[in-house]
Amino acid sequence: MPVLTLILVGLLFALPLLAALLAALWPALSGAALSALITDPQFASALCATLISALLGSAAALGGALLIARSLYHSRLWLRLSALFSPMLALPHAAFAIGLVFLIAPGGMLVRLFAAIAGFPVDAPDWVTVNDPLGLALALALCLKEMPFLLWNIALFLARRELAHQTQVAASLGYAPKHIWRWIILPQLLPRLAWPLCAVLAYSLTVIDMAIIAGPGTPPTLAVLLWQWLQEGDPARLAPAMAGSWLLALLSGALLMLFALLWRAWQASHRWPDGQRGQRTTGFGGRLLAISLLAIYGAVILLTLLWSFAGLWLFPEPWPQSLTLAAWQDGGDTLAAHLFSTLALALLSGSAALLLALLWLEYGTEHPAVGSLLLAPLILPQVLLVAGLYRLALPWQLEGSVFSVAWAQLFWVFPYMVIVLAPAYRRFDARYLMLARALGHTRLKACWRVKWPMLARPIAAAAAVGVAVSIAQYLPTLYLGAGRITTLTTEAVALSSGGNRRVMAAYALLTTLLPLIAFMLARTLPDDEKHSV
Amino acid sequence: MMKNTLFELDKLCLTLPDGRAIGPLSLALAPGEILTLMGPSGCGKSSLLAAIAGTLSPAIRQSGQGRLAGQSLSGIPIEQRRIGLLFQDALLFPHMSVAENLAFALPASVRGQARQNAVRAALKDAELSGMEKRAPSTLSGGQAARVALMRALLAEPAMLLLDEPFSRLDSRLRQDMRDFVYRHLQARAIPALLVTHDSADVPAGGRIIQLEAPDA
Repeated sequence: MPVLTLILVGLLFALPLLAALLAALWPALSGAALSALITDPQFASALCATLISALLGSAAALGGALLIARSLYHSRLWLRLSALFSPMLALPHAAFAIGLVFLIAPGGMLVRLFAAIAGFPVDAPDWVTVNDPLGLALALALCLKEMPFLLWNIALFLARRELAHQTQVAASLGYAPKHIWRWIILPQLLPRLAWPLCAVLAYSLTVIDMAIIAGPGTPPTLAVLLWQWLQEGDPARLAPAMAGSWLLALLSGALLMLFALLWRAWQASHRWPDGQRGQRTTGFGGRLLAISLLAIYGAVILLTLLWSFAGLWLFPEPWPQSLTLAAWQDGGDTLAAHLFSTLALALLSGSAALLLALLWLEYGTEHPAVGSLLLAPLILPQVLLVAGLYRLALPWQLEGSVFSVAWAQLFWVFPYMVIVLAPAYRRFDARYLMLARALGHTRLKACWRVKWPMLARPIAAAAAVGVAVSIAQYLPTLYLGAGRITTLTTEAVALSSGGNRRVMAAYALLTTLLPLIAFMLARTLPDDEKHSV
Repeated sequence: MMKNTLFELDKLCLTLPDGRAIGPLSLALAPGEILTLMGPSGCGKSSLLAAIAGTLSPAIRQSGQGRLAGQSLSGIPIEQRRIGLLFQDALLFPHMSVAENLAFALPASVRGQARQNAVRAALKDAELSGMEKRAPSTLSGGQAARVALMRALLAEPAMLLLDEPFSRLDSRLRQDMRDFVYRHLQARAIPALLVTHDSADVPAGGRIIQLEAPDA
């Protein structure tokens, strides 16, 4: 089994990953490509919007997550809140951005509510609250969408038993929660947030679907610009696009080095404990932020629901004049077809990734070099990997089939599944497996009959995450699908540029509901965590 | 009430979420006295300790109260109770050096050079002189346990809770550690409640309270 695991992961994941990166590197390695990129008239402002939205969005997501955790980690609210992080995480980026636009656009719900109360404005104002040239709306969308991811990682760390004991000891020495956070939790938490923060920053720098919906239009962010060049299919555009993708990758690397330096500096300023114990505070700021975050997620989902059933809905009415099934009925057949292809892809890539993830966690972890490759898709620009994969698929005429799209999605579904499943897998009490094998069963049989059934709930949760990640994939689906495969997400993003709002809302709602349903199904399984150590 | 009582429990009674009840338990501790609580597994020792320390889960209902130095403990958060904790694991903070672990416990009123002197003196007391810069993970079990006691004492607690503090040590070290802990508690006249399974842990002449499994 260890050999089979390595072969499967190597053939389906690791080798194509390296080959795709090479294929994407080749055209970029020329001075002409770089100068074509840099001299492009859109380049400077695209890079500027990218930097502003990514840095502002990531920093605000981190700051917000730390503020919420610091204020609430010792309260009962935290445990209830923690249960919501993974469903919030599962909400696809594109669907979230669409719902957020319904909320904050000049003709959106916030302005409508204000108008309903204050009596003005009578017409939708012409402010630029989304698609602003600096990328501020995109920064807001990224911040709100990435905050649950960071909170989920923080909750994972705070749930450790040794940390509960440490905070108890610190409290018995007289320290208030805020000072325990400063002296005991934060210094141990921040190094562990390095990788999740990497992923957030790299994602923010290179995001496409959210940037199309909420980001600046012309020029767009750098990732979207490169993506437009790739889509033109002009070979002269390919080289600068690849060079730009590598530039984005280098940019995330450089920013991460900067963060590492800041962290070192913070550590160097590390003071000798002065014994100040601090006072209990209400944690008002964090509480308010947590409630706002939940309220925004609720509003995003409800507005998407409402728009998908809205009939005529003039500004400044806060409620549509009529409700109708038109969006669902008119788009009925195509909607069903897109739903079917979305589900088929989720099932294909999800089950393949689940198999790989289980085999990997059981047999593969002694290969740390391959293991570190798992993180590559999460921190490299998606456009880079997807373009490389496309170039690999082209000579074999693999593009445009369901299987190649599912395979392309695997590069994100598989790593996320491993990340979600790994903590529960590590916590599992190894003695159960030893016992089963001592009773005469092979390791695989012992896993099949004992370990995996006992881990049914976390495995199901990981499968739900896999479904969510698959449904959310925009770029791999569009590119490897070669225009022949359309899913709910690719359709929703396509409709966001001036299509029918109601149909777009219907698509976004479906992409929101499917992962939630998967999560609810996962929760119906019995929780055997009590057997874990 | 005894004449020189420092800590007392007055009919402390805990009701678990499943309806079982622990107690009522009444006891009184004189300065420097070490009282041992013994009982079978599941008799509610850890819930009792949590109630006294101030970390009881809100799902458990509590009646009766504890008083420390004449002050009721009801509604006082753990960080204001001045009750030190020692567990079976030393629980030194892994990201701090040995000296920082000890300095973390010192009151803020001890400033500047006095802080370093206090840390050095505590290490000397624990026969660990020169170990200031060491990481906790490099200490032996017995060394870490001695640092943990010193840390608890530097915070100037009014009493200590000892939750099976010797059970992780190997038998050779155990007697040394008992002597070390009891000597320091008696020298500072700090009372302590000791929870243990091992009757050899009971200090010479110390009182024992036998707990019973809770009633349904």
